[in-house]
Amino acid sequence: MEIFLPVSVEEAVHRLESGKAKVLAGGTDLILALQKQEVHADYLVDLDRIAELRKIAISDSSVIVGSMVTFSALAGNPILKDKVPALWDMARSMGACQIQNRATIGGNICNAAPAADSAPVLMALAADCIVMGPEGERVIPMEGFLAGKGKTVLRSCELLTGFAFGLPGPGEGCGFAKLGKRNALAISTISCAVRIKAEGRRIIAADVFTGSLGPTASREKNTEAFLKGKDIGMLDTEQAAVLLSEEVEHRLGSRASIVYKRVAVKGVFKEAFRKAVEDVLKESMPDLGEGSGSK
Amino acid sequence: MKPMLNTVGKSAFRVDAREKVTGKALYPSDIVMDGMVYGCTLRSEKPSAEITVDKSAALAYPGVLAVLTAEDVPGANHHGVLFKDHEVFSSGRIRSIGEPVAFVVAETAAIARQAVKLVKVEYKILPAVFDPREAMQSDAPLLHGDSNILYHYKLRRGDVEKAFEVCDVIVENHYETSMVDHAFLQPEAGVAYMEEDGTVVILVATQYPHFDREEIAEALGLSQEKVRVITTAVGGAFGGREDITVQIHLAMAAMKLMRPVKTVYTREESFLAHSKRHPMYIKCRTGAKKDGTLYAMEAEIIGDAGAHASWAINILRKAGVHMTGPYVIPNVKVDSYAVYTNNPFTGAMRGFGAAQVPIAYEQQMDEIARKLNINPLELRLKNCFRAGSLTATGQLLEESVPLERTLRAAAQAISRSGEEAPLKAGKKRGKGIAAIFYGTGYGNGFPDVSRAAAELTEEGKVRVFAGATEVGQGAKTVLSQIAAEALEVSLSDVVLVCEDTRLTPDSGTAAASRQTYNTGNGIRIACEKLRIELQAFTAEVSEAQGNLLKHISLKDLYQAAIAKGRLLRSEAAFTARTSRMDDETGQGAPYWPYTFAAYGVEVEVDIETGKTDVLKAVCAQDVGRAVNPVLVEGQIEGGFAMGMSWTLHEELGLEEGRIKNRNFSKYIIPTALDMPEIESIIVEDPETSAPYGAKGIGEPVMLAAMPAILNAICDATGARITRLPASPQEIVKAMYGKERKAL
Repeated sequence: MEIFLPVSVEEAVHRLESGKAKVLAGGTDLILALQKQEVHADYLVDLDRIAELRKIAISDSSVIVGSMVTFSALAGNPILKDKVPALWDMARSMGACQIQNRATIGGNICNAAPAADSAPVLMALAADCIVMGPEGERVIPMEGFLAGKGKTVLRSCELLTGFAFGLPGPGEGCGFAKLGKRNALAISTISCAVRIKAEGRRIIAADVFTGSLGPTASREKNTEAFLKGKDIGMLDTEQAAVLLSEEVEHRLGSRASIVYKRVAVKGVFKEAFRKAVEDVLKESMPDLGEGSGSK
Repeated sequence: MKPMLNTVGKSAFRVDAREKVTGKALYPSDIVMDGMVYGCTLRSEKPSAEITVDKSAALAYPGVLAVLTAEDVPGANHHGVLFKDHEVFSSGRIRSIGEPVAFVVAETAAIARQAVKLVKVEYKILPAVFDPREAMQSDAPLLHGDSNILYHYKLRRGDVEKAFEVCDVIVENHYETSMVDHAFLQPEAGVAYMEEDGTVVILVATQYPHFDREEIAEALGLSQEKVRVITTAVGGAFGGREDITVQIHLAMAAMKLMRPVKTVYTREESFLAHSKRHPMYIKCRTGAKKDGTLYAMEAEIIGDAGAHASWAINILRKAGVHMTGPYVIPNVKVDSYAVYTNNPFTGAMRGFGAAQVPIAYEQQMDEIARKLNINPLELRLKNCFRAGSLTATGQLLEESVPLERTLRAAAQAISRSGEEAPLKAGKKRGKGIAAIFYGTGYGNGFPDVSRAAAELTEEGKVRVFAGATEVGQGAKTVLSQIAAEALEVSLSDVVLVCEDTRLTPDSGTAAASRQTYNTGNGIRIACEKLRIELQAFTAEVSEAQGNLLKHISLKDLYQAAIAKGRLLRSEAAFTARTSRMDDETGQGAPYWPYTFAAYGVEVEVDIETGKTDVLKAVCAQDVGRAVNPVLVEGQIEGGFAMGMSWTLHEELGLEEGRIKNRNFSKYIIPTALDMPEIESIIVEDPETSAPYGAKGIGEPVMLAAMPAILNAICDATGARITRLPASPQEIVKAMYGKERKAL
């Protein structure tokens, strides 16, 4: 099989225009699928040599992450660790070292697996997907980028070049949690990203997204509505979690896995919410106490 | 008082460490020979069927050299460790998915893989049964002979019925253990080639080269002298390399083509090719007096043997013998059954039947303690085996029974250690302990013999011969240390030869936790004899020189002996003590010696996701004597990891006899990030009959892990997990099962 190694986005887009191509963006999924002959392509366009796609650009108010940024690069970025801990957390808990070294955030999104860890986080961050095509650049909100299991809204000769999102400002915080079958090298059974914005102690905006609980990551509206207006330290997280559980159960219906997932999603949500609250509070206030439980 | 020991008891570096960490060790897949060709196996895809095979299209494929099927087997078309009930290639009747149908040999591996798809197999589907409890019914489809029950072990002691009447507390439950895979690192592989004299040589990672030789010779219709098995480096075994896989296919192809032939299984094929751990269905009832004295136990164990016997009889026997746990119970009735089904065949796996039963008996100990409001440690101490105790089979435990010490050590260590980080919301922590015993050796009167030889070499070293396989457990190092100790030479003066059936005597299998004890004894005796001979000869040489000789090097001694036409060499055999139990009552002394252990565990459970993290493990392990303490710790850590993995993660997803999760992204085993801190406590109580007191530990180190974790989960959550694995789903079900709607 032929492999092209373009050195610019324009060249890559040009290659995509001429035939049945697959984009190689790390290859941790694609190579296996090709080996098993589940995916067929006339040739591959490997983005490995396009330096600009590997950049993480952080300004005072916004972040641009290139589509070829690896999970290792995200996990090794000290500013992201400080300012966007949910993204950092997600990156370092995905797969294991070897996978993180090769896998890219753009590849993870375009592969569009229901369990993709980066999807709920980028959605919660309200990221924009920057897309380059033969007619130029366009921007697609992350929430509208995925079109189903293994599907995106990308046109056949378009290339995802990166993600842009605002840096969380004062009173804002984001948290991510996932549940897998082991502590590394595990596909998420459930993942959850929560972003909240508070004024004083009052939550004025909440975004809750779950992964692995549907064909794509999904927004959990009822839970968001519940969180809005509540006191950040006083609200009943159990009640929020029960709402989420019901919302998920309604969506998944009678699937066998729901018996477990409806319970487990509560725990995953609570952890993500707790982290989001910690993120909000870390600069402003001392410990507001999630009570330390006892046996 | 400790005897003065020079080499035994020291943590010598593994003799095979350098070659393994530098990548020099030769595993079968590393071997390449001139003119080598490649084989690929076709396996059955239905669990119960009659087949007809058409290999013409595969034979006609360019590059294909041979397509071997049942009609090509020169000798007996069978093999098997107990019964010869495996076919080399199916002769028509298929009893499970994964049975070999054909072996396609081609110029390249790619051609062989491609041509395998061209072998046409027509299946006429036959009725099948997948649950051993159903297979026991009289109307179930039969696999072999006129009953699917291939073995029934009966253990009878005292009067159980009367005894339960006078018990103050009785606990009763059903337990189910999952079918699991050995998941060793190195999938099966091998190379075979012909020597000029017509000897067929098989290079393979096996646990028992001498038995392989016997089976290969029988299938090939050759005398054993014409078959030579060379053991390569072995990438883990755990019982999964006791049954034949690649050996006979390779030997047949090499003989037919007169060229070296290689095969390497993929991980997916490895899951199909070797045995599995017996899933067991255990009904158990235990009764005790008010003061905590155990008084009665009744149990029924049903083990799923799958489609072939392998070691099913020995495993279900071992399960029955160990059903009481390491406790004195005067009234016991156990019925243990091995049953054929159309599932993948099950066989030897670390613990060998004694691994499943602690999941039942140790949880019942905690339940009795809770009901009687007695501390779980006190209950165990009140009933545990000590020197002089009688087991349920009526065997007197004469010595080396340091169970009480292991229990106290584990309980003390786990009670004072505690996770110090504050508990997060939604999490609960708990602690648990468990104790086990394990009878080492083949057992039940089966001759358990290890032969060994030792000779002085021209270089003044001692070459020791024993057909004992290094499967990763450290046998080469431990056996060399024993030899050095017995010879009173340094470890570097011992050269152990253990890889070639042409050079080594039969030292039995690397299984049953028997190599340190059994082959260690054989080597110790051979080396002590040689040492005495060396001393006598030194005296002789010295006398000839008018007793002027103060010291003579071993090199000079060799020269002096050769000059006289003498070879300084010794041989020995050691046979373990074992006797056959009574068929009706199961009374007797099946194993010797027994090894004991007690583990303590702390876990943290998420009460919503059910995810369990083991935070800490303390493992107090009786070893008799530690020949190499660091290797003992390595065994303990590996054993705990394997036990933890089974408890929390592992299960073969079986659907009508088909394993669904045949890779490591779906078959979950732990990573380094899942492992807790493990504190090993080595408890020594030398056993008189053992080499320097050392008993086998390879299997015992795993057994207490499962129940200790389950007891800790119960302590944390109140949920009793009776079905393995204790997955997040099982734990959530156990916690909320009855009040699901209330969530």
